[in-house]
Amino acid sequence: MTAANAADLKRQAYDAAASFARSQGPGESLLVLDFGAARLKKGTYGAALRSGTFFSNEEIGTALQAAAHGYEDHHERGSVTIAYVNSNAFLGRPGRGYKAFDEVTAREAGEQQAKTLAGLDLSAHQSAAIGGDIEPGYDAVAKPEVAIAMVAGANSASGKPYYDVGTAPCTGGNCTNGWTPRDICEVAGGHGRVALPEIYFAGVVDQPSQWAKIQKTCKIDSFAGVSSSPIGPFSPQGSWRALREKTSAGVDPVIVVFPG
Amino acid sequence: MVVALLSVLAAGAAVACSSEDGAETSSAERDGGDIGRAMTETIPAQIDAQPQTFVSSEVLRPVTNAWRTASRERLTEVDAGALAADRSTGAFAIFRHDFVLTRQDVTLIEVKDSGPLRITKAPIGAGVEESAQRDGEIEFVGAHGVRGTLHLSDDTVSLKEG
Repeated sequence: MTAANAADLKRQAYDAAASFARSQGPGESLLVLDFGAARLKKGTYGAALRSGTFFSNEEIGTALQAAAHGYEDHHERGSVTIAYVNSNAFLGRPGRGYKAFDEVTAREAGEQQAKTLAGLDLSAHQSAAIGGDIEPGYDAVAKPEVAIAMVAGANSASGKPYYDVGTAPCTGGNCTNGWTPRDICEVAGGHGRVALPEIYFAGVVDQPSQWAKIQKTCKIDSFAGVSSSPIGPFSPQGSWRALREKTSAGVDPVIVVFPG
Repeated sequence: MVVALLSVLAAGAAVACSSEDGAETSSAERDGGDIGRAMTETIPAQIDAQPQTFVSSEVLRPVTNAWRTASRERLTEVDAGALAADRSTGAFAIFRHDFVLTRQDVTLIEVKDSGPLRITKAPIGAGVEESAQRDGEIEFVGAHGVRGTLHLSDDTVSLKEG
């Protein structure tokens, strides 16, 4: 999402879901709307888009409702889960006008993210969920416990799976910015959490191997899919195959391709 | 066979799905057709000293600063920094979002041995939202001293002598 105001956020969400509805297959589908980094501004929880603009969870909820309408207006077949995704970018140093998160406020941010879904009016072939692009490399200031608290809060307040579309940049027992593999488990594994690992690279940065180790450490039975990008050498299907070949866990047939 | 589609919009929307054996079965290559629309508000051209970035932290890290603007029809953001896998290589991640076509794409430009890049001069303010995306000149410096210009007209970089 890249809107400059709430009306445009609704417009983008509607258009994206409408376009998605027209192109989806006959089965279940998952539409992930990434609203950028979780933020707390003057006591209001929400998210700042990657292009910078802050929106409250109330405004994001309105956009999610617009997405539901866009999907419905152009629905041809299949069903969809619409996911409100944020990220952990700069939770500890969020910039001017925002309050840095601690474990308490981060947990509350997660809870509020989940509660954003409560008022949505969805059709019989729609549902809603939450998730995060949780990347240790996104935040060099906040402790891992802050992002973990955000995910825990979201997970605790939602009856749906939490979708992690992030990274696991670990070597041995150490990961980027002080994270550990066990920290990754708190985001990508365990009750109510499912991962679609980022698989962009397999050279100097060997993401399939990184996630294979995480899978063993976290005892993940199956991944919900993969996240891919043309910015790396893999085709979308190549990302999926690379993860499946490296891990003993199942990999569901879902591929996120960024950007689209 | 379960067929699922998944799209990330923030960042990107796109989507592919596969069968159990990994064979591609469908693709949501954007087919916006008549769906997309212009936005109601533009974003004046600006340099952001602390951008989130549109790409993964495994692609670009550190991210030094960014330049962005949006007309009613499209947005462009240039994130400056270095490759996460090799900080001696400076890099730009250029993210574009066409609102009318409901299409997004990203291009990675590398500058070898420059160190992390920082944008030093670029079109700024209102009134340049469309022209700057079309043929803007983004001046930059690398941590190792190299200076140059990113040309948005063709996504190429020219380096200054000395």
